Amino acid sequence: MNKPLPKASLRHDDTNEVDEKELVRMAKAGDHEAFRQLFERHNRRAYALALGVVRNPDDALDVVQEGFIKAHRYLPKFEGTSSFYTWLYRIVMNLAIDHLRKRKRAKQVDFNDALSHIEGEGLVGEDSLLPKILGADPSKSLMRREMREHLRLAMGQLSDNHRSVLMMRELEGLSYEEMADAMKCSKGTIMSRLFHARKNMQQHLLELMDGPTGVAEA
Amino acid sequence: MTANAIKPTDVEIMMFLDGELEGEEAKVVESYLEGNEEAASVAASIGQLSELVRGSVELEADAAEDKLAGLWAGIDSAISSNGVSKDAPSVTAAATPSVAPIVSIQAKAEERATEALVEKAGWFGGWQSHVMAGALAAAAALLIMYTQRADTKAPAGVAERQNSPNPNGQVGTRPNQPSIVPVVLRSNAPEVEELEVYDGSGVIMTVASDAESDDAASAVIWISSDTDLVADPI
Repeated sequence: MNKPLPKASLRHDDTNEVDEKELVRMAKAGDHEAFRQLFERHNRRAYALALGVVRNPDDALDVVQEGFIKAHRYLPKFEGTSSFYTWLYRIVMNLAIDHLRKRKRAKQVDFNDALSHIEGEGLVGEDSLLPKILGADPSKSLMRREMREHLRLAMGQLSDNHRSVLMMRELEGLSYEEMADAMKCSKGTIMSRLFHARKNMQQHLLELMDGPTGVAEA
Repeated sequence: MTANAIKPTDVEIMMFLDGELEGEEAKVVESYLEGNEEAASVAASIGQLSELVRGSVELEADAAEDKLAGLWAGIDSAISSNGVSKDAPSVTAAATPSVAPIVSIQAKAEERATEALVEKAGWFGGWQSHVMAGALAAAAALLIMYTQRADTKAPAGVAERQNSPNPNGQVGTRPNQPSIVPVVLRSNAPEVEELEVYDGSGVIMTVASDAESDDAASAVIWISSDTDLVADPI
């Protein structure tokens, strides 16, 4: 019945790994065409990640472009211990986070991170996730333009840290440890951020769909 | 946490769904979810949210497919300017075994000759602006001197030949022979200085006036750019 969630659908498919290693080797040797193929393979995933974090399509395109240029520049240093995309997404993620820092938007403070998470203790009361609020079939919900707009707005209302961790988890299926490494914080902080990101998303969606005191859709 | 005694928190449910719990902890949460409708509903909401977020971003990414395809031009341009050769073997070419070309001695000699010409042309290309600047400055100096000399009694020119008679009253060393007389510079020597300018070269040429009572001098400043930059050359 309730099992751990499947890995994200955008997660890298290992079936072409050998082929990809060859492309990386050739790109390192200066082959533009090989690098172009790497771009073709991964630009969409990189864009989805960047867009999920920066929330602005043009900014996301800039981040992706800069990410690939940077990847090409540092390709000789890529040792191949991880997949090319794992290496690339770190570059893109760092650029996206840097972009957010530069933008210096006025965002809500992540006070939840500090107040709610106590290592080894459970979170109770207001730190509970909402039960089923979004209807039975998410894919059908996504067919509605209104729902997509709600999601876009709700993601935009998350803090940068909450949104970043949510994207890494939902799009890339990263473990808490991988996310902690990427965001240079503890696993506990990641866990807390992810929990509150989900909770805030639920809350924002609920408000957008039914108003602040609305009734959840069954 | 034991199976019957402690209700898992929502955080623990989330961690279980994210695959962050292992062994006994995971079993406890799993069995609790199977027997508790409210906890199962919370778990379902996390799953739904994941699908919605992922699906929503994927749809947005799909909408940008054209723009993504257009990104390559900018990337290609940027990485090409990083000094990576575009002549590197292509993916398809690399799969084909290469055969070493047979090059004749004559072809090699021609190649070397071509390389030498290219090298010389390259040298001239590198110093072209300086050579041109010098030549034009010299031409300008000659023009100034010519115009200044036009005001004096002496014939115009940089130098003049003075046909003075010899002690015998003859002109020349032998009768009927044109005399050979030293050439005397009537004009002051032009002063040439190099001028340091941004991204180019410059020359200042100053020519003092011939007139004894006149302290005035004429100067020509010639600046040439090493590049084709027109705006803000200095």
